[in-house]
Amino acid sequence: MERIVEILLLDDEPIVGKRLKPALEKLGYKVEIFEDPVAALQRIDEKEFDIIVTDICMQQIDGIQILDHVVSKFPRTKVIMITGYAMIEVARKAMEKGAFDFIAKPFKPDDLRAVVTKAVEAL
Amino acid sequence: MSIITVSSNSRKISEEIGKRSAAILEYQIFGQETLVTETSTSYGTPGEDFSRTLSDSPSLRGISSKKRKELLACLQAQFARFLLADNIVYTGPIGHLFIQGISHVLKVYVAESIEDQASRLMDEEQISLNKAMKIIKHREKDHSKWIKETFGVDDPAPSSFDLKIELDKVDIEKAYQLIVETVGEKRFKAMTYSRNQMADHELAYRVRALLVDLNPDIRVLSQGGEVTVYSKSPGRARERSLKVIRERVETIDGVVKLKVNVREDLFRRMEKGKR
Repeated sequence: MERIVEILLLDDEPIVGKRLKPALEKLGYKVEIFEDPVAALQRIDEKEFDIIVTDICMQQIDGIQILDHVVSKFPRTKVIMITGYAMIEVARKAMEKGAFDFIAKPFKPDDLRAVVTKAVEAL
Repeated sequence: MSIITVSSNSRKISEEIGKRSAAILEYQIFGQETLVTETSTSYGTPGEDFSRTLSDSPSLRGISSKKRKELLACLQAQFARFLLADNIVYTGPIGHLFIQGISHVLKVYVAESIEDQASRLMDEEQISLNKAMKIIKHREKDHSKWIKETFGVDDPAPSSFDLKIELDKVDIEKAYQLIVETVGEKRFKAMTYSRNQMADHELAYRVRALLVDLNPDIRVLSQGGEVTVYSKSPGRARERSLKVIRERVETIDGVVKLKVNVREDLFRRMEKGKR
């Protein structure tokens, strides 16, 4: 039996998780959503997710710190960065640190679905 | 999946380095001739006009400033169309200025010393060292003037490039190696964000090329097929300008939504009022 792909989605804007969770669940993935990066980090330490989708600009802990943590602890996990403040320097930094992909907001749920599908294929 | 632009103060060097890097990486390559030929075919304007735009400094007897902006808009649109392909090397003097802010474009500048350039020119043209130096200095001065007047920047500005190679410090074999190694770094890998940005730029430049005859300073932005046009027009011509822009843009492939913002050009209105 095929294992269900598990995704953690972190964004401090509640609307993002609310919109994207059903879009990803439609594809058969199991999705946990978080708005608080500290709580997300605790959950990441408890469990190895297949894919983590994280916002970059958040208070307390930013997406780049989440990426660093995941890359060092779970190198198999694919990390997808999303941000409303996309800039060339941040994009390059994220890729350099090992992000699987980088998407600028606003995007359609279909855009994220396409990237997640690619990440699943690369697992 | 990346793009490399190679600029240099020596055309021969940029072509040689570009060709060799493309061969090692198995990338496609194109240069200024291809850009000019393809732009000429796409826009039905003689290639010679595009070549002159890319080489001659603005002058009273040369191409008018308005016409120059029109021709450059076409070249930029064609250039962006080439770059949609990925895994491509461009060698030429304006690549780094035609496309900016895309993370998977590695912008390389290769500097050859004036002594080496002069030595080669002496052999090619059978002239004295003194004359060769004078010619090169004159060419560099002309090129800098052209860049400054066309793009409003000093060239080569270090901030315009990701990698600067000085051939009096590094031999040419090491230069290829540096380019190949740098473009292989994860930070230059294409991502959804940078690919979308490239597509946005390409569409915006394509739209601008079709509108620039209306206003040489017209601005076009694009995001995911939503195109916004910013222009100016004097008084009564404003409504007509809006209509023409809409008619031209709505048929362009890739445009899903259009916003047109035409402000009144008060200076032109005042000028007309004085006549």
